[in-house]
Amino acid sequence: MSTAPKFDPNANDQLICGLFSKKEAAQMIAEGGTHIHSTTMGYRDEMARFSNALLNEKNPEPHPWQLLTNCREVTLGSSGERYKLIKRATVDMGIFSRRGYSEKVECVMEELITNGIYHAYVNADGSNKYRRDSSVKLEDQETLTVRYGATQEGIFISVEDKGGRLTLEDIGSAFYRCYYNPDNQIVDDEQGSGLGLYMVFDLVTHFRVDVFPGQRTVVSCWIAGRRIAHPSIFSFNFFKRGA
Amino acid sequence: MFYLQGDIDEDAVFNQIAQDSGEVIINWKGVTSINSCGVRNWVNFIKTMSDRTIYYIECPPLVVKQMNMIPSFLGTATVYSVYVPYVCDNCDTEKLVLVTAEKFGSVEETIQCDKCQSPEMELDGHPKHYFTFGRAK
Repeated sequence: MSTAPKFDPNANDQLICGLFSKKEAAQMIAEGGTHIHSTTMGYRDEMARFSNALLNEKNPEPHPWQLLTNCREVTLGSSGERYKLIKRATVDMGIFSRRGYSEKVECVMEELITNGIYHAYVNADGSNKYRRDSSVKLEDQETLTVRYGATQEGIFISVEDKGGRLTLEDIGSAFYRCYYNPDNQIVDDEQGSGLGLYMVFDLVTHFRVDVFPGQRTVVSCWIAGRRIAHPSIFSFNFFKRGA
Repeated sequence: MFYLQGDIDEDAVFNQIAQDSGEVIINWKGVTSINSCGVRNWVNFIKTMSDRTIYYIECPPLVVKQMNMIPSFLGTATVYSVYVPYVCDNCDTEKLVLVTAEKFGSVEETIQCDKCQSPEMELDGHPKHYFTFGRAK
């Protein structure tokens, strides 16, 4: 079994550009890397330049792909609504009939929503408020905001919870375990093993997390279209804001 | 043979498979989605079957994705056949082609589209990555 690298909180806020595999990126994230762009363009890559600009601002603005004018926003108040919402989203985005693409989008949406419902809210003792095997009706102050939109180039999905609990260390630890210790990917832990986030990261082109600790977490993704997607082109960005 | 159907999620149960003795053949064709809870359920189940001879057949792309992302999804099973997805960019038609194990290393990257006859119906993905599960065994 591979031993996880030491997490360095001071590694934050450095832009790393190069050509990596997601497995290599997972190691960087586990070591505290927050802004990782795998690109053939290096620091001239448009997305990397945008992330770099965001790093120098106190309040980062959305990446360009988060500004779709036809983006839809839906409030989700219970676990039971998620499957209906996901099906509706694939119809709205015009990919319902594209089986391969819609399966990927459905998986990403479901994992992000499931994480938001079951892992964003905790009891006073720190345990998850809602059990994974239970049907959940979220309280008014806990509802999730799901945004999605499609262009010719790809699909944007984001899920926002009002917990603000996701940490870079948790993400890095989950990614590292899933990529480097494949026999240990499944952890029987009610708190969640991060398998869902790993699946999302593995499926999407760009992955961004904005955490406002104790207030909200926004996980947003871009899934490039079939003709554009290349496994070597991807990014990971983690912004801890308002701390 | 066991035919798995529908969504593999937190509610999925597989006990019936364990009750059968001898070789186990699992047909995945009818599976429509798998989430991380379903993956966890399946991996925990397949671990209990490590002393059995298991074959996966007719694995659709969503199952192949899981086998590639989560190596323990395969357990000790041998993959006998998978569906390979093709897309025609000319008419947007999609097609699944069943490929058996002996051809995993030599799958066609393009085939002819049945609908518009374009010779450029492409494999939806990278052949090398699609069969990653074969190299992990």
